[in-house]
Amino acid sequence: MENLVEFLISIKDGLLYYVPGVGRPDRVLEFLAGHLLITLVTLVFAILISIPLGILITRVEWLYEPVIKLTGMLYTVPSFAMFGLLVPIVGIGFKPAIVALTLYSLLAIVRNTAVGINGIDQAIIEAARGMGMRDRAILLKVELPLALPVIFAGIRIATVSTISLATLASFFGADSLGSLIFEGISAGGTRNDKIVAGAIGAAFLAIVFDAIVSRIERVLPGSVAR
Amino acid sequence: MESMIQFDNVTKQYPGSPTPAVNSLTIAVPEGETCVVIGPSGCGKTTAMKMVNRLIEPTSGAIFVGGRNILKQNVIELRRSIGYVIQQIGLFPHFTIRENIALVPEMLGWSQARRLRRADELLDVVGLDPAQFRDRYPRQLSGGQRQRVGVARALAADPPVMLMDEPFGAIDPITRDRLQNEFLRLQKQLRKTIMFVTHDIDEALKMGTLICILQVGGDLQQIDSPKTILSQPANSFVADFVGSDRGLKKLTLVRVSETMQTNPTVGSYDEPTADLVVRMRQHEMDSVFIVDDQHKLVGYVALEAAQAHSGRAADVLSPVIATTEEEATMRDAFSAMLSYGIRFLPVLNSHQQLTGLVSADDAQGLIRQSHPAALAR
Repeated sequence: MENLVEFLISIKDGLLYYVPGVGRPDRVLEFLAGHLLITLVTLVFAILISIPLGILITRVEWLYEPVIKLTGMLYTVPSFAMFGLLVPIVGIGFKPAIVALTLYSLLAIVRNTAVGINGIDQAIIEAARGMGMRDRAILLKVELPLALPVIFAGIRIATVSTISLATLASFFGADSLGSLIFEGISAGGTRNDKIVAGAIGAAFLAIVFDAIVSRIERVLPGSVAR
Repeated sequence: MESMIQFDNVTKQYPGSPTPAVNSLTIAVPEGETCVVIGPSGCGKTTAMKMVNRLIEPTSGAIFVGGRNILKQNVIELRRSIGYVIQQIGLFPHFTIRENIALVPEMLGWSQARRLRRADELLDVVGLDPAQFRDRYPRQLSGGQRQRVGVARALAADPPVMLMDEPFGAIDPITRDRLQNEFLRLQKQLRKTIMFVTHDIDEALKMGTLICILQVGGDLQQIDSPKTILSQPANSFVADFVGSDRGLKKLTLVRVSETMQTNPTVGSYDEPTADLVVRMRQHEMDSVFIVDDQHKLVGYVALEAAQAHSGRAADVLSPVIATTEEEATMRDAFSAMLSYGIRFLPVLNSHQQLTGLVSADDAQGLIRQSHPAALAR
């Protein structure tokens, strides 16, 4: 009971951290900006690598298993270990965060791209080919539009997990809402408001991103097909 | 070369398979003919067809379309010059009906205005109202309507040659009959050269001007007109494949339009029942079809009902439960009469107007006629 009361007080304090004059909304905003930057850059890289890779493994069948297995293995590497292993290679700060989070995002987007394309009714592809559509046109006008809902589901998963994992990046020197959380943890129970404030910020960001991605998803050409 | 589609010793051998899928097939399909390729599953009929638009490449031999060796032709251009209809239809679900139909014209670089005009024109041709359907998506259509769009899409760039892979195979029997009839009507005007794959011998006899029967392993057994296939099967495989009920099958060779009684006695909607009774007695009929002022069939009146009620035809009208079309085969018509237990079937044109009448007696007469030939086997 006492713990619960303490928890609720922490939440209240965390929210107060957002109130000008009482807390430090300016610091939240600064960390939020860092968090946003890490998330956006990661997603851009992840999408640029994963979608072509996902398409490739639907074309070169023997690559499918190894690529899915490799991205799956990367996904299972504990995040602290991943960051730790990357620091000697790419240094500290922003870079290891981007590399690690991009590697984590591969699985969801590569897999969903491949599953989305392979899941298209083969009759549609055969009709397209039989009518004389070129391979590139089939990919761009038929396969990708029809696979987009599934690809976007992968991007949504990657987005949420990137936002949540980006908090760890601050442990290795990148600015993110995690910085606030770690400050709170190092204060040894006296500044739980910071932990809560950081967590609330990350959750808020995740919700906003998810809403944006789902909004984009709705206006995509493939959405009329369902 | 006079044939539109020509196979010269075409063999397709899949790697790792002991027998070829198609074995040195030589066939010629003259312009304007519908060649139905038929055989048991695994006979290579679909493989043979897909070699024409090079979805499958032959292992050896040559195929000519319009006199040109297709293997020496640009494959994309070749495919755009051949209409392709498949059983699963394969409409693009994210394209409107109009965009689906206009796909090949678009790839051929037609102007937008011309494409739109063509799409509307083709919707009309396949019996769908353009205003109602052009902006819909495939999922908003029934199976039969989708296959009409599939046919329209294949016709879009007016290709001289069409490949049809079990185009009516996944459609319910009643709609299938209607689509077959409509397609026959269409083909009478368009005179395309068609290669049509099916596993249904009745469909083959109905749709084909040439029937090409393959045995498992892609061996040609016989290619001939439906009549010859039925009366002179080349070997026991063909005879068995065609079936033992060849008397009945011969009904498939006779169109309703060939045997129907034209200008049947009819009554009109607001005629007094007493007049109908007189007319029925005069012609020894026990019922009469009733048409409206545009000669559209609205129902029938039975003699007893007309006698029992003194009023207008409209008061004692019964709905017609089955109709047929001029393009239908007598087999279609006979089977409808048998399944509904009726002796007469009204024949309607595409505007629902009554153009004739066929009777079960006509069908039985045809079976009797063909009987000696069947015995002569």
